[in-house]
Amino acid sequence: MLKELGQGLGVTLGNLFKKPFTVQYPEEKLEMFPRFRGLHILTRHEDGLERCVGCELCAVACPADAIFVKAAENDPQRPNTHGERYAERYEINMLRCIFCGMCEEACPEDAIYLEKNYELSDYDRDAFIYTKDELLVGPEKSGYLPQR
Amino acid sequence: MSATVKVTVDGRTIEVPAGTLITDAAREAEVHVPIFCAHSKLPPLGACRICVVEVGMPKLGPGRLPVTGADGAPEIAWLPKVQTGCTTTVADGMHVRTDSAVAVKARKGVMEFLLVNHPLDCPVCDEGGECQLQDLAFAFGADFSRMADAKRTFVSEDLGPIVKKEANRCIVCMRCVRYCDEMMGDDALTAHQRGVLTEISSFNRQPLECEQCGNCIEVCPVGALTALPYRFKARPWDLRQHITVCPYCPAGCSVRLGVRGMEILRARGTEFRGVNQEYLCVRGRFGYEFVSSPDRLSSPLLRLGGSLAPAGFDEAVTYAAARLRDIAAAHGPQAIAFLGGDKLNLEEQYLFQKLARGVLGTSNVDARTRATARLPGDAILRATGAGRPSLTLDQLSRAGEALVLGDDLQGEAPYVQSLLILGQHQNGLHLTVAHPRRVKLARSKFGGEWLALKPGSELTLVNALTAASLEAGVPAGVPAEVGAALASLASALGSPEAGARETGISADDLRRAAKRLCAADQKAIVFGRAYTEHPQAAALVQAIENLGWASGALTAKRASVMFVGPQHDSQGALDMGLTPDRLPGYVDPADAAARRPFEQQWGAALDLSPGLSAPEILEAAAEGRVKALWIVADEWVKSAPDRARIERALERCELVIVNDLFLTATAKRAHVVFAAASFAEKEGVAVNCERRLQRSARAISPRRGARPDGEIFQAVARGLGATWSYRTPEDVFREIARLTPGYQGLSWAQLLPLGPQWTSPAPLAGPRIAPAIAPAAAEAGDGLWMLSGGTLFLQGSLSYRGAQLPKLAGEARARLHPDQAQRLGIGDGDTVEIAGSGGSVTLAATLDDAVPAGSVFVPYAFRECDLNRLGAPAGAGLRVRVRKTAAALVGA
Ligand code: SF4
Ligand code: SF4
Ligand code: SF4
Ligand code: SF4
Ligand code: SF4
Ligand code: FES
Repeated sequence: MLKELGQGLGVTLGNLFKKPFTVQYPEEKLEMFPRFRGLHILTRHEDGLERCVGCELCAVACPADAIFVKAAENDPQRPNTHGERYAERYEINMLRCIFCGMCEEACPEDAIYLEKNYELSDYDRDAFIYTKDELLVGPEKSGYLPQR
Repeated sequence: MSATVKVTVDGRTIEVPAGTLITDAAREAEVHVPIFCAHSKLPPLGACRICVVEVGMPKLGPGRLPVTGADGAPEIAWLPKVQTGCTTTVADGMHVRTDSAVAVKARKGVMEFLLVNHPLDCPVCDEGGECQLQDLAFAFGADFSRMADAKRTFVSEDLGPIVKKEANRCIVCMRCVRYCDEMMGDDALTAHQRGVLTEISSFNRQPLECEQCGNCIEVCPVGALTALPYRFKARPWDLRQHITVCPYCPAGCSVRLGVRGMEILRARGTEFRGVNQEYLCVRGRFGYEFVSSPDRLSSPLLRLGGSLAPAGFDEAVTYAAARLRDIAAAHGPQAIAFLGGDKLNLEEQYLFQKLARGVLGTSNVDARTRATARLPGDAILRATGAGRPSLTLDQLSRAGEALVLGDDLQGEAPYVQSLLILGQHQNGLHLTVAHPRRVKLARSKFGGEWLALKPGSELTLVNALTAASLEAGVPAGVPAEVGAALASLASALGSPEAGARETGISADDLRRAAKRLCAADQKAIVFGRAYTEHPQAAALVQAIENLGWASGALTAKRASVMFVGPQHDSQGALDMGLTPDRLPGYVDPADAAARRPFEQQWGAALDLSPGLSAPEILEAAAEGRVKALWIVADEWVKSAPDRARIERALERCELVIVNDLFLTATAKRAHVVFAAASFAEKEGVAVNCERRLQRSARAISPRRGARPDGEIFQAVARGLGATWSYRTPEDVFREIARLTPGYQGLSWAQLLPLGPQWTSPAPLAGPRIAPAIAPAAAEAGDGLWMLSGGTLFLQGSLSYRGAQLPKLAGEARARLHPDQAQRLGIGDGDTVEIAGSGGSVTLAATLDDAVPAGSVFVPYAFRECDLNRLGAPAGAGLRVRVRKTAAALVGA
């Protein structure tokens, strides 16, 4: 009986002197695994043009019907993409999204990736409809593709 | 074709008519044989080879007896090579395999060849998601490409404002080229170069000069031709598709509207449904745009204190009902008149006249607002066979001889024109076109006969054709009393020679035309608004009835005369009694037994006297005898004859109610304007020119503030104390089907997918053969004949509210023969003034040798040009003076 008690307390004592792994969020943050699926990004080519051509394959692949795309034709003088077609509107409703990554898999252009950002709280439902300007990476990230 | 043959497709034995193609037999056997180049409206070509199948016949031994194998089944001698199913006809005992190793390998090979140069454009290709190549590549193609070399590429082209061409995606099936030729008669497309360098384009690589119908896009099985107005707007899976009936002509094409959210993004044909299948003309394809126009009315308007102001629906209904009641009480119900309605659905037409006759007690109801003379309500019915089984559009394209009287079908009913062109190309149809202008169908390339009559001699021409027909005696198959009447008519008509002088067509030509018509087994006579809106309409339609019986187009059993009305539901308007002298089903209100069901159902004693027709209503209103007008879906101010009189009428009327989608020129002068729903926003039935009842679906909900016309009529009827309680158009249709001769027994469910043509067990009106003589009227005077007619790109006041159609139509032009123009000192592009008895219009002139000298042609339906300012026609038409003006003011 005493033996068991000692064993139990031993576990407790052992843990007492271990380094705790509670993370002091939000002061401290965890590094996510490479294949973690968080908030989406829309990527750019090396030359800064958008990769997304507005084909809507992500939207049709999405099991949660979270994506809305409206395509349009490029102005040849100031093209947004390499071809004729680009996404004039690109929206994801993050309240619907289940972060399954199907959109990423469906995209023929490597244009959409789920990145590591998981901090998606807000006070307003409308704020969860992420529009293209929120999703598209900045020009400084031209050519960036997450490694999977 | 009576002979049938037995074929076995993938083990399923079926019986099909001899001469059937293997692809069609396979469809019958429910075996899928893919096709690209084959098309039901085009002759077999065999260009793409995707339909290859293995074909065999039973092996024949000694004495030509079938050899049976060990298992007792006949042995099959398979042909050493695969055959194209779309060009091979079946033979008795033929076996077809689509799933054998040989067939599968061959198909895979064809697929690989088709994809050798095909780009991987699917994500950015507008066809993606509904592309037959994409589908078949999934179903039959390999999942990798052995192609290592660079693909051949072409530069993409805009072939005009409608067609976008991306030749890299073309599989050279030649459907577009053939359709444009066979159906449209335009030959605008061709294949440049040969082999792998083949490229489809216009002949001169300039914008297409054609009807801009977009049917080449429709039949293109891939994304090589796509529609510029729909470019990148949506993907097929975004769209809810609803099948409605086109509101732009009485052919009644089924239009598949693609809706994303609340917006209609495109219109397409239906592939396997409707009278038209894939076909749409330019109006059907792009004319829906007005539905989402920002100019639509968003609430009823009431004129209180001088100007029109938005009002609530109930307020407008109460006001309208109260004013109608007051006017009926003060001046009698005959002081109220209802105009328009042939653009409404059948149920709404029925309610409109029920409101007039059953609730208010007036029979001043007329949908034919453009008419210039009174035409008996049953005249067109009798001319088209009084309810006898009538010609279908399909039969029209298979007729041996078709006589087109007076209308330019390119403007009035483009699909009917296309069917005639198809018939001419494929079925040996011969065309006779009686028209003062050389309209499209009268062009020599269609091999027909053009009876270029002098304007104003229409009646003489039809009478002369009747006389020439009767020279060979009375045709067989007519009832005895008709035969007798025709015999005495023959002596009254005289010889065609007299007609020849007046029409300017030689007696020989008239005789030949009549002979062809009489001799043809399958024949058709087509007429339309050019005659029913003619000042001599009553005599003309009587003359057409005479000609129908005299030529054998009308017989005791069948009718081969087609009325192509001015609007998509003009036939429904006639059927529903939107005429002052007929109740629904052409019931004569004077016939006590026939009218009783209506009186019982409506709970009202009906006014027996015939009411006023549209031109009489106009006159009565201008003289102050009619005090209240209800004008429905009709830009009356611009389209009824005689502008000055209309203005006077509208000024004198105490109450003008208008139902419309827009604040039209007519609505601006009204006291009450109801905002109405468009064709896409309501359900209902329309009756096309072959008397087919077609149900159209509601594609989107009505614009906020707008209501279907039927709801407006019901609300006002209830405001007037009636106890109507129809919840849906189906409720109304049930009442129609119970009461209306010809419609009896029809059910709402039966109207889908393709409704029936209504016929009547007993003719609804007896034949009447009578000499057709125009009443002596004031001579039209001198000057040039003012010719008008429909035009392809515009039809009615809704068509110019969109973006594409007005752009394609350009501006209104006065067309003059070059000789005539020279005599008047007018050059191409000069501004001319056309002056008639009532006023003048100013517009630019174009030289056109299709217009006869001695006349000027201006199509109607142009927004900026109101031809009724010229005054009302008199005698056999309208005479005008044309002169060059210095002023560059257009359409003032
Ligand atoms: S991650 Fe999944 S649920 Fe979220 S948008 Fe992409 S496909 Fe839709
Ligand atoms: S993100 Fe990719 S799949 Fe989605 S529309 Fe853009 S290109 Fe197409
Ligand atoms: S034509 Fe069809 S297969 Fe070719 S790119 Fe377009 S969608 Fe893809
Ligand atoms: S453009 Fe289309 S319809 Fe025309 S040949 Fe090419 S694939 Fe066929
Ligand atoms: S032919 Fe007539 S019904 Fe058909 S699409 Fe054209 S206008 Fe509409
Ligand atoms: S469909 Fe038979 S060859 Fe094209």
